[in-house]
Amino acid sequence: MTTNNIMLRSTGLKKYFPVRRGFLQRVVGWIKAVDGVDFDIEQAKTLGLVGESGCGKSTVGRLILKLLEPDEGKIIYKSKDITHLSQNELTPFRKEMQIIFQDPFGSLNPRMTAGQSVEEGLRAVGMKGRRERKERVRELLQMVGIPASAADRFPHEFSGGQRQRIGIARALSVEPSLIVCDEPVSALDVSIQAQIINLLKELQARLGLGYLFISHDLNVVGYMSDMVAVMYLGHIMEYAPTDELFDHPLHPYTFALLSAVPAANGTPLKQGLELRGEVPSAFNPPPGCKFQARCPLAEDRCRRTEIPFYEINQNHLVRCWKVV
Amino acid sequence: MNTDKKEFAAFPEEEALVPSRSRAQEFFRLLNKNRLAFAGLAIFILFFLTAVAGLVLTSGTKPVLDPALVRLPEKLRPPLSRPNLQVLRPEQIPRLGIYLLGTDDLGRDVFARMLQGAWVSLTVGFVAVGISVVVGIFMGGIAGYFGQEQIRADRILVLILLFLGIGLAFLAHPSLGILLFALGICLWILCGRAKLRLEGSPWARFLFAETISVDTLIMRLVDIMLCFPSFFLILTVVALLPASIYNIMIVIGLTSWMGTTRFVRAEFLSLREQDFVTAAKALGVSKWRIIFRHMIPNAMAPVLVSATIGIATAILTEAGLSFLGFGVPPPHATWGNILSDGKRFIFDAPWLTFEPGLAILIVVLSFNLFGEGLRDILNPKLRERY
Amino acid sequence: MQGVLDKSILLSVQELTVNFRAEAIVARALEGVSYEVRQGETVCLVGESGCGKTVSALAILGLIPQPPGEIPGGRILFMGQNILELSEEELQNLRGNHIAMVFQEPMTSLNPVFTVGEQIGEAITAHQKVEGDELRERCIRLLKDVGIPSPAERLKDYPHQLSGGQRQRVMIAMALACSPQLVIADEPTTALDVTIQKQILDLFKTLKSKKGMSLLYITHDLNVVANIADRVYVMYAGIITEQGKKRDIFQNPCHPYTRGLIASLPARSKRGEALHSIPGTVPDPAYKPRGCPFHPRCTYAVKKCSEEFPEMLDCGDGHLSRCPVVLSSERKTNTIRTHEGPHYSDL
Repeated sequence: MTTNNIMLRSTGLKKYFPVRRGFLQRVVGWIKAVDGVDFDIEQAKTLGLVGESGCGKSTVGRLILKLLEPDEGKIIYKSKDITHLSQNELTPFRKEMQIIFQDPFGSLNPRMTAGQSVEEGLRAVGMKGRRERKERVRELLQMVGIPASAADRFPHEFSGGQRQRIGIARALSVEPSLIVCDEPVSALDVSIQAQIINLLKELQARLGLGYLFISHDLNVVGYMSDMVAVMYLGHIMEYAPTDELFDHPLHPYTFALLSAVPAANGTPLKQGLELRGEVPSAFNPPPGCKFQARCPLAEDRCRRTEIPFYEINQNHLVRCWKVV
Repeated sequence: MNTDKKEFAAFPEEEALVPSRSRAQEFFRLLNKNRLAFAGLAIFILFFLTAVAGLVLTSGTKPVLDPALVRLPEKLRPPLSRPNLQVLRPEQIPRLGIYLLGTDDLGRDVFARMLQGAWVSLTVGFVAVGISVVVGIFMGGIAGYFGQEQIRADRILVLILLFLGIGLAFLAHPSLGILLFALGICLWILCGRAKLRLEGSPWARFLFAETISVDTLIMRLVDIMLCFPSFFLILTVVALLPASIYNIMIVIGLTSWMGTTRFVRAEFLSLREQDFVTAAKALGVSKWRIIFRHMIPNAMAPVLVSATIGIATAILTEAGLSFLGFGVPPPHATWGNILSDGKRFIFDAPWLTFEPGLAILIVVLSFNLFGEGLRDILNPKLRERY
Repeated sequence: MQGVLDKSILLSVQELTVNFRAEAIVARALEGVSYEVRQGETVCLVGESGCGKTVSALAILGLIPQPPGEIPGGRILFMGQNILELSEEELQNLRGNHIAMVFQEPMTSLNPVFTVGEQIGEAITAHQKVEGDELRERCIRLLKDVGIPSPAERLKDYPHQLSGGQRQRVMIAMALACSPQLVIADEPTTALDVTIQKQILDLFKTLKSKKGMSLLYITHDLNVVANIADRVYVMYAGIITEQGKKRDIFQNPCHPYTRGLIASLPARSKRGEALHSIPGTVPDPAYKPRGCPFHPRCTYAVKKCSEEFPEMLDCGDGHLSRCPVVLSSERKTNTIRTHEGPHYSDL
């Protein structure tokens, strides 16, 4: 984990959401959405963040973009600590990091044309000339495969895949170097999904973008990522280079995930471990390992103390003492 | 950058786009399908033109149609009757040469009075709803966007002092009011100064404790406002204030913003979680641009619908107030006071009650129909269909 | 349509055409779709959104709203009876009793104000006279069948007290309430997490072998198809483009669309190379291209494709494809297997 071209490093990141009840909305408890998350994203590389719904993976994406204030931990972008910057101090970092979303219907303002949506980013970085902006919008739209003549159309006139492309063009408008991709292909049809994945790959190769690729689909993550982090209930359970993780999964949860993924050739990626039950709620979780309730290997120690990261080899970390 | 185009064109550039249809075209297509709403809109436009014509024709020192001209010999003439030219002085002869809607108990031309009243109804409807929409959007927007901010105890204290001060200054004790107001401002400045020095002391813990969120405060205020039967609240306020058409508009407006607030808050709460708002934040778009460019336009549809129906309610409220004698002061005609004056002659001169009654009915009904139709038209679920 | 008299055919949809009409625009949702489901078989309808797979399932249950929908042609034979000619009463008797459906959204398909027990009970009493303790016993047995732990307590729960996976299990229990011959599952695992999806797919497999029912499984996910199907129908823009046994479809696809879909699936093994992608987008059902609806996106397309609608052609062994171009160009190279032995029984 000691390479020089680390673009973004997150250490011990935590975010708890209060649960409020009653007439005066008093806090009655906390949802531990993100509970101590560490990872690095390298220049022009992709970190895949995979997990089931409610594991906090989208919250991580929003935390590193500072769209949510982290409760604890540090976000270091290009060796500058941006954790506690105010919204004004963040302005120069805003154009460094961008986000694209899952839902192609909700990600564009229905009252703005495609061109206006992309232009918002250019305005935000202070591009003054109106014609200059228009010209750049055309370039950006063409870059993502939307005919520039469509700039004056409204979102409802585009298909899901086209809207996703416009969302990407909007993110590219400020020339970022890191993009958080929050399930960018999950809502798309298979044939469109491949187009968007290819587009993201091409853009990465050409513009040297780093991606935090959030997805629940192991097939997509396996294709896109250089490193993979497996999340469960706010914790990263295993963190390894893609091939290492897929070939030698160590954590029982990773193993179970891999064996649950159906593959087109009929055989799952791994076989053997099947999980019973479902992801418990992150509301006031019990102490110890987050996975204890569903883990076939769970013992007393897992229920008592929090399990730390064990470093198997240089790049492979796992949060389970049983498999070390 | 022109080379980009080639490199990224792994797919044909001209993809099939859905046939283009602008928002306005869509609007009129759906309006056309909804006949009742269309009728509502047509009557509304007619009403608007009548009211403007009424303003032009009945105002000034020598109006074309004088609503206040008393012709005692010609009282209680039925509609469409011709004036008796023998008993009238030349300047008393109605310009139209006919009493289109009859005359009242003082021989005043009801047609002229109805025209004058139309302008009153129109302005009351629009100004009152305008006030309620502005207040509603403001309060709802704050509750929806800044709702989770906690208010500190000292701020609440300051707020109470300021409001009490303003209230007293205008209504009862000017001097005491101004004193309280000044005290509030002093406290505000003092608390701001003292915050650092008092850090950690029990005083600070009390003064700077976070009490309730903005959202809770505003929504409880809405709940309290909704507890009052608003018509009687208006009656009370009108009884305290000098009777004038503007006071009535303001009072109606200030007692009917709660619905809009709730709509806007609900819309803002859901819009705030929408991805395009998150995207705008991530791009570094300013807070105010997000609110005005991204959120308010998307929250306007339900507001527009409720405003349309709100205009009808405001017209009814004004008519009701005038009917009870709390409305616009007498020499000025409104539909409500024509109705009120006419009720004494309901058997001798039924047109005096039927004409304003019918006018109110038609206008209110047309607004309601148009509002209902607008609700359907602006409903995105109906819009996306083939 | 040689198999109409075959006793093992439970459901046979023949040349079904469904239109949706709004003002002057006609959206042709289905254009002459034919498929069949045999006793004890799992058939997958696979296709992208808007290809008509859900519409065809709704038509089987007589649930197409008319208007705006209309069914100008075709037959749906269920155990020899044409469903399209049944009265509303006869349909009521069919739904739930002989054909049951499981929907995608486990959140909205259960009524939030009734308990799980009441809803399953209603599914039973709608068709059978069962009361009191016996009804309760049946409900508990159903919940046990679908793998819900401590079923007796769960009967008193409301839907919001259950997790997504458990709600989907309850939906399946309701579908099984009257032991139907055919269960139609419309994307039942799309809203669920992978580990839960695995559980539900396994549940379908066990239930099918235990109860001997047939399953018509509708999905857009080829990976799920590979897991569960016996036979597969690939749909595109309201027509069936290819049909055959699972092995044929995945290992020897004969239609460019199927080939494109399989090639565009991302997987770790393809990392480093560009994914194959099908250009363009799915056509609007109201503005479909002439000829083969896939030709504007097809890499194999020739002039003929834009002119005439392609016929279903036999690739052997019940494997049919609607692409004459691929078949005629590749028959020489012998990639198409010849007809061999009885149908469908060897998977």
